[in-house]
Amino acid sequence: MIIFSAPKYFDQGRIEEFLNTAEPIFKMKNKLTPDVVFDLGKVNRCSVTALLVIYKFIDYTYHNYCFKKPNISVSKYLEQSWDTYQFTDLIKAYIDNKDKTEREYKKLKVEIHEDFLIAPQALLRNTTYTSEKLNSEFLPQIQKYYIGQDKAVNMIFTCLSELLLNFWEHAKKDSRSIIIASGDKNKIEISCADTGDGIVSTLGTSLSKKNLTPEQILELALNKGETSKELTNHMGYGLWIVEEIVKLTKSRLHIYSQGAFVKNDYGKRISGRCGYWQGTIVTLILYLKDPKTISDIPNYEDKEDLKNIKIDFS
Amino acid sequence: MKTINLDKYSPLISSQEVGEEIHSFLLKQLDKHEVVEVNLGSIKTMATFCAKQIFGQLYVSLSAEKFFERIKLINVNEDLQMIIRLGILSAIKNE
Repeated sequence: MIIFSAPKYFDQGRIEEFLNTAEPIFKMKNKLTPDVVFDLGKVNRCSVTALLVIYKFIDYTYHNYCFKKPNISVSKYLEQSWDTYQFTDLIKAYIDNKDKTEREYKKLKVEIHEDFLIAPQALLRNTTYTSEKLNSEFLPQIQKYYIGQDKAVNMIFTCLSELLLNFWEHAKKDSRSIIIASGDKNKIEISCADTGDGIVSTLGTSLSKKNLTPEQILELALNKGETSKELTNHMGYGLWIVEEIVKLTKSRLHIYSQGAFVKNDYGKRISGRCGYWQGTIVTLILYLKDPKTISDIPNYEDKEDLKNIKIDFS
Repeated sequence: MKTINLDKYSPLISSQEVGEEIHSFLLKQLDKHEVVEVNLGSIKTMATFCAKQIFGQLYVSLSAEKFFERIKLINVNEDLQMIIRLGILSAIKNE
């Protein structure tokens, strides 16, 4: 019997532990391994990212025929969390072996109580569906929730736009990229996860001559101007901008991809090795007390060049 | 002068497909009109990729002088102005 289990207190600090546990699934594609137990029975606390990672674990193993009739035990707490975050129908579809995920995604809504949340949302490429839904339903709700906090909204939208584009571009082979967000007046947590081409392999291809470790590649992904697609419209500014805002606001950015991680916690960056996850997981926790936007970033080497561009902003 | 509104893409421009659509639309308008005014009042922000894709490409293909003479960007918030500048500078450097 093979047992995969999730930690009791599955918060941001335990993601690496779970990735170590989950690593074997990426070698189980099409194996229909019998006697597998996915033990979620002890989970008693769970971050938004942890919920998303559990969902992507189930999603990947289902679509890649990893297990044959696995047993899944779920704690009451987790059942309630799936309800709150609108994962229940999505996960039930897998457990009942009736995949209707795309249909279920279309039912998901933004919930606004004292806190708000954006239910898990597929980032579907080559359709206007996701873009339209984000713009017409989700983003106006964020604006409404943070009414009077214009700068915070600008900060959130700037980070969101860069993260979304990054995911759409890096995950071309996997339309099953998911975004989820929740927040209150003091902070917002945004998480994206996929099991497509990870940052390490997409960026690593263009850096192959440099003989870098996966964690060095992830560190480079946060540098200005590092892109896997030079001489295109890619600028390699996206994650750099997000990290600069994280540094200025003493927020948190965690990226896990293909056996490595890079984190910036409250202005301090660390990187290292962790369990292999095919694709990428990004968590951004932004603190909103003293929001900063792109105009506040002090480190533009090209400040003079930028100023000298003649644009008629009438 | 032709004024173009980008309301239908608001508040966020963050995909390559949408960026390409706007770029193509602006090119068509520039074929028909000497000056095109783009109202970005409802756009909160856009990905730097899209800024390069839309305005960077136009800047390079038209030249700096023509871009200034023929494209007016109105109601652009301070952050979006910076993003557009970054997109254009990156396009210039790629030339």
